[in-house]
Amino acid sequence: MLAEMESEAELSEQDMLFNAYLEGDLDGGEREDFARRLETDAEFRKSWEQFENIMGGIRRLPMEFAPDDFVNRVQGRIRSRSNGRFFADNMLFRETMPYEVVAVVMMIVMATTYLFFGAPNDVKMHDVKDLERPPSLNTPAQDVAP
Amino acid sequence: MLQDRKLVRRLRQRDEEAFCELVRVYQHKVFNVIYRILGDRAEAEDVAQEVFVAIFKYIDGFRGESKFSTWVYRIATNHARNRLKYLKRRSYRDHQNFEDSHDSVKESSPLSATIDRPDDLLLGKELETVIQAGLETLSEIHRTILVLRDVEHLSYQEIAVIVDLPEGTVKSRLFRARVALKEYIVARYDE
Repeated sequence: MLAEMESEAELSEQDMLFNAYLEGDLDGGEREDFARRLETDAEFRKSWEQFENIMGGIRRLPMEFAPDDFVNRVQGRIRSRSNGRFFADNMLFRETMPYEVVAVVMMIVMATTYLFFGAPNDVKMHDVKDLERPPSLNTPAQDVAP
Repeated sequence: MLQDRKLVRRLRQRDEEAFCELVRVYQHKVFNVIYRILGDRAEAEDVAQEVFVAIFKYIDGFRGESKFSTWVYRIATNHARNRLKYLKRRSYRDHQNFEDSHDSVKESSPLSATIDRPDDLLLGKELETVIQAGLETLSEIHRTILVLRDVEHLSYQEIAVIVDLPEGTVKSRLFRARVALKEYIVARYDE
């Protein structure tokens, strides 16, 4: 394994050794040599600890999670790309109603309520057809022609 | 494996429930890989969604020669790498090839004055930030291989299939990526 890596001439022999150790690519003898060097060579041990610490840091990077509504977003994207062929909207099963629908329903309810309970209900209006003259704001006394 | 086969069969029938199950199972893995490659959450979200759209669209192209998860990783990393190239072209961020990192590591860093040496601390938020910044100095293929091996803990065999390179090349590039990243981090802490 180490022989294969020797072509990487520009990289240090020590880095190659650390990488091979980390990957478990050293054979029995090479591992013993490595362990012996760790015990006897303080500089080597320090370099190894630094390498190991950094590699450990990469391996322990925390998992980044997709957002909670990720599934819905993917569905929405497929729905729009397929022109509604897949994941078509079913209003009954939607978690939220579009505000346009809510607005229309509210208008219908208000209009119905108005027609049934709030429409003008002036009984005197029934007499309109009996008027000979249009009503005016003057009192009846003033209405009388001199 | 059997579950995967069943899932793929249902996906081929464009079973919407099966697809939702697939997204639920793989969303975090896919998102994590893409995020570590791109280093940007908003971009990662967009690319991850595109990955699942592509899976839905091209599921018939999965021939079962590799594990289904390997195929998913392949699509995810291809999308992430393509997005990186696109962002580079758009000069979205100053991504440098890791070969240039030897020069760039000497640049001053706002973090370097406040953090301890890496051998003095356990993994903290600072080290995570430096590692992510270091990843972004690597070329897209080195970054991808490092993430697949050291973050996702995949085997060389799987990585070779995912990035479509021989195993020996994967090992060699992983090694170079690790050394470049280590040098970047050490330089950041040494300043």
